[in-house]
Amino acid sequence: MTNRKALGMTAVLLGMVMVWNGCSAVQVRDRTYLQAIEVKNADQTEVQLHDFETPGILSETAGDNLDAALQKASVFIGKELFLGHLELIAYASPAFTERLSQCMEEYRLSPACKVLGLTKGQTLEETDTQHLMEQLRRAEDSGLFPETDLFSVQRELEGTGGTALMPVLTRDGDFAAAVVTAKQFCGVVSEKAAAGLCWLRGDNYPKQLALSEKENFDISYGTIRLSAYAEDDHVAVTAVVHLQGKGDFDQAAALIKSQCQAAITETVKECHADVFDIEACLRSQCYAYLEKTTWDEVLKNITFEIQVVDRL
Amino acid sequence: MNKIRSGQLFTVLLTCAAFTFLCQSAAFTMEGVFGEGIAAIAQILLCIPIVFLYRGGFSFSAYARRHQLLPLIFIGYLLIRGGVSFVRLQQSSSALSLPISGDLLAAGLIALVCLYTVSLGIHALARSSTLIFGILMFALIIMFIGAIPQAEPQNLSMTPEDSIWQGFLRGMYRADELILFFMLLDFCEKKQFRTAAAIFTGKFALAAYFALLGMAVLGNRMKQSAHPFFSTIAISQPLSTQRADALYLLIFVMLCVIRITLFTVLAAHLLRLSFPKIKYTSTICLGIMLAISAGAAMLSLAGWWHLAALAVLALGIPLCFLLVQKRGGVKA
Amino acid sequence: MSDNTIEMLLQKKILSEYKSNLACIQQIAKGSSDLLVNEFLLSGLPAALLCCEGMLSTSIITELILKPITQIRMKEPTADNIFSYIQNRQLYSTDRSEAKTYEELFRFLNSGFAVLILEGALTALVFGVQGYDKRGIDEPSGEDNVMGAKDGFIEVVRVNMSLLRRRMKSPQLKLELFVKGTKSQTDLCLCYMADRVPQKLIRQIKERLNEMELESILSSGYVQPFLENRRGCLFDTVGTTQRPDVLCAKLLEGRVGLLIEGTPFALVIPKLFCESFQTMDDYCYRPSYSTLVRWIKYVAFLVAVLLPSLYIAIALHHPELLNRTLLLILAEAEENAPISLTAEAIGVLLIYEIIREAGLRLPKAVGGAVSIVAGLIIGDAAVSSGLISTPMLTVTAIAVIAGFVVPDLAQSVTLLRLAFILAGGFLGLYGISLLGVAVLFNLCAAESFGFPIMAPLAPFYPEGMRDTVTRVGFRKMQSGDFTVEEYHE
Repeated sequence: MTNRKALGMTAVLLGMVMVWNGCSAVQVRDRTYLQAIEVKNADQTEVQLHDFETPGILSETAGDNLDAALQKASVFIGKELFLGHLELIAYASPAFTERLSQCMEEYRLSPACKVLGLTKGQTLEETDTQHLMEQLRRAEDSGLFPETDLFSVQRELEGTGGTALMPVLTRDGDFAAAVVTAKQFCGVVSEKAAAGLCWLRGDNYPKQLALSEKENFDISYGTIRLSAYAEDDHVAVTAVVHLQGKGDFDQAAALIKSQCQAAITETVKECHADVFDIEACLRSQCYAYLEKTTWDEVLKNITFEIQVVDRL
Repeated sequence: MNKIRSGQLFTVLLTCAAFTFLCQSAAFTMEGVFGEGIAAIAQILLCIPIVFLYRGGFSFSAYARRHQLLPLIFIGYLLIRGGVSFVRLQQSSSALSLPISGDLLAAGLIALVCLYTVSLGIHALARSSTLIFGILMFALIIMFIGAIPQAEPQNLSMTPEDSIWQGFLRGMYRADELILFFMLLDFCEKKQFRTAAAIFTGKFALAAYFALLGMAVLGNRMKQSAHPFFSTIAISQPLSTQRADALYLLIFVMLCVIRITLFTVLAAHLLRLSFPKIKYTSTICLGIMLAISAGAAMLSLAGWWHLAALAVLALGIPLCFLLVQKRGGVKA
Repeated sequence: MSDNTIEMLLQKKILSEYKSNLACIQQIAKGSSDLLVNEFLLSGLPAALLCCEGMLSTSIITELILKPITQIRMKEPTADNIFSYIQNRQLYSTDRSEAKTYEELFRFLNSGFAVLILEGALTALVFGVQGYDKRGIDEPSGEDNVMGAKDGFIEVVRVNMSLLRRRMKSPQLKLELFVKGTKSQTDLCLCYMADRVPQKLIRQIKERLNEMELESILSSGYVQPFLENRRGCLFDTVGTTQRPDVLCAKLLEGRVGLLIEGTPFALVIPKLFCESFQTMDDYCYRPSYSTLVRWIKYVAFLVAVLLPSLYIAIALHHPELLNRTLLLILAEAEENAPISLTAEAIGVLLIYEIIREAGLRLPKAVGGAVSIVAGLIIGDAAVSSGLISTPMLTVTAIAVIAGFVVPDLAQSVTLLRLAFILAGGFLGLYGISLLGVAVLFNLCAAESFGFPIMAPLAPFYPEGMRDTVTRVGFRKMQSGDFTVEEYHE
């Protein structure tokens, strides 16, 4: 066979493959781009779908599992569903938490997608999800609420403790931080503890601390470093907050310390949860100690010291 | 075949190695990094007899013209490793979400392109690898920029489930580049030891980069990740409003084509030298590789056989040639 | 008279007997009305001055040749004496030669020379007194620039040679004339700097030109295929230029130029891919600005080839790559489009190619109307009616305009753009990357007489980066002594 014939055959073969494959490509107009989904039950799954344009619900269907429910929704809407730009997954049933990883892989969700827990009886049926998302982002940006997303929840769940922090929507419509495991919600932390978690997790700091009715501390720089050392029967973790700003430094430091202490008490001590990378810190700095004891023992005996130092 | 330059040898082998790191399914660990470093040192040391052999006037092409058995063994090795590359492609395609209906179809398309690239010869491959290496470096920089916000340095810690010895073995399992170096040095104008040192040091640097970045980003999630590299890029998004990891598909395909083209070019070259009557050598080699990949489910991909092949092809055979050469036996 | 007879006559040596000589010439030229024969007595011997009507200046030929030649009086007039006298004492023109065969005679005649035949002479004297109408030296049409010279090559090879010689006064600049084309007898001029060019390159080019057995050479496109890489490269391996300053710069780098009579385009061998992005303006501006413009060109090339295909691939197969807001805008725009995105893209591009081709061929008077029709009807009305979506039209327009930034690569860009659209539409980013790799290999495999066209990128030459990735200042460049031979493999 000459080169030309071989090239010609290759081109024809390639063309056939391309046409065969390409003719089934879904056009842009034949897709619905979902913004949020609400999963109501983990067993007989009901889903409510929200897109970027329709205020309120786009569709509400039920199926044996999430896949079946989404497929029914696709038929109902008349278009293929695209979840690549999904911004919010909301659910009330704690058991759905362990399905998050599977959803992320199967539907190729963005790791930055937000996860929101709903209290019993609550639904997003009448909610403008766009507005809800903006509120959540605002709360995180302001440092009032710890930053979480689908990936951070999964990463924390994969830890030895199997706990994660995620936002929940209270009956009043406010956001609260909840400690969750793969199967249940362990507890909701207080506002003070949530603020403390913002510092301990190191992702988002407030721009301002309200010291009193009239006085504020404007924060220009903040960072935290966790260090740990092992003693005979326990691990001592020191969290050093480097702070820089305008205002009464001592008062600000005291406030931060109390917030962090509250966060530690409510998460580590009460819920036995690791929601600010304690395990990673211990693994890098107290590996030998970690190897010879159990995680429960570590959490039971761990001590914390919070220091706030002036960056300058 | 004409000569390639030392720099091109470097980029060819490094782009070849990069593909295996992208397709890696084993978790990235600190132990793996240390093991990879020791494996790199071992490979550099194994290059010493090879370089001396070639400096003594040895030519693998000339040997292949007069003999058939040994070249056939090398051809078999190249075809199997090429087939394994197709298998890796198919295994990784789920992580990449290729817009192709069928893994074998994706492999078939790559094979079609490789049929063309192989026909252009080793010069085209060597030059293309230079450019693709540049694109790879650019992609790694973008990956790094995207990973910085997500990276937690304290995730870089030892793992109880792994060991340095296992990391070393994994490093040696994928030491294709050693055997490829042995064959490619024949086409190199300068037989320099420092080229070998640069290649394997670069390979280690690449492995360490992927491992450290992956560990820093994924943390505990590493255990659940089927393909750590693709999980890392899925997390390391430079922009928050869109997922850019599909763009890595571009570099992934380029590296895959380079690797399979290299194996096919070398196998076809040896086949033509040892068995001049056989025609359409490139097509035959690619067909066999595809067949191997299709039947891979029935084959065991255990690493021990590769270690054995490495010991024989990269150490045993060059040492034998060197000994015979020193005694004045082997001609170039 | 049959062709064979004429061919036989052309190979004959010039007859010494005047009447037979003239009869032979008239026999060969039978049927041509532009042969002028001026018979006279030259010092008592029958002679004739032959010329081609329209090829000479009648005033020059009268003043310089006819008047003085008829006044020659020799004591013992013989053909040899008279010719020797004319050659050594009269010198009617600076360009003089002798024709020994009828083929040479007619080649000179048809090139605008005046030919003198004389009783008893075994040769014919030819005088270069061309005066045919030729185009004035004008700015090149396809290679505009801002800061460089405004003169360009024209169709007369000797004028083009003078344009080179004026710029490069070095005696190392060699301009070798030779003739090709069995019927057209076209003058070709090989130009090179003897102290820079690799001798092997000259030899190889001459061998390739000797393989050429064309009947006529009417444009550079006739010769180019014989000098190009035979492997089917997507991009040209032989360059063309209309600018003498550009050709001089290339010659200084050790390249070879080929001027062809009848075409204002000179061929340059070898051509590297990166040269398509270089213009004379780059060397007139500041290095920092030139570097920026160079990079804009690189990006423009990629945009021209890849933008429509990337757009289609991402929209159809990888929508997560698009910004959410952009994606929604796109979805809304495509809502009413009746055809698929791939078909839309191909349709828009084909329409653009039709308009472009029409714009080239139409008379200038109608060109304006065509622009209005194309812009309003196709651009505006089609979008308003929903036949084509605005984002698709925008993307295609950007790609098309980006293609104008590198006009040298226009052909390849057009073909590749279409191929990439098909690949991206059917196979998404996977198809684009497969095709991209194939194109990359094609580029890297291409060589021009042993010079890889992707040099200095692949193979990589760090010194070459100073005029590829950046454009360093002349203070650094002057110490380079760069010749293209460094890239030879």
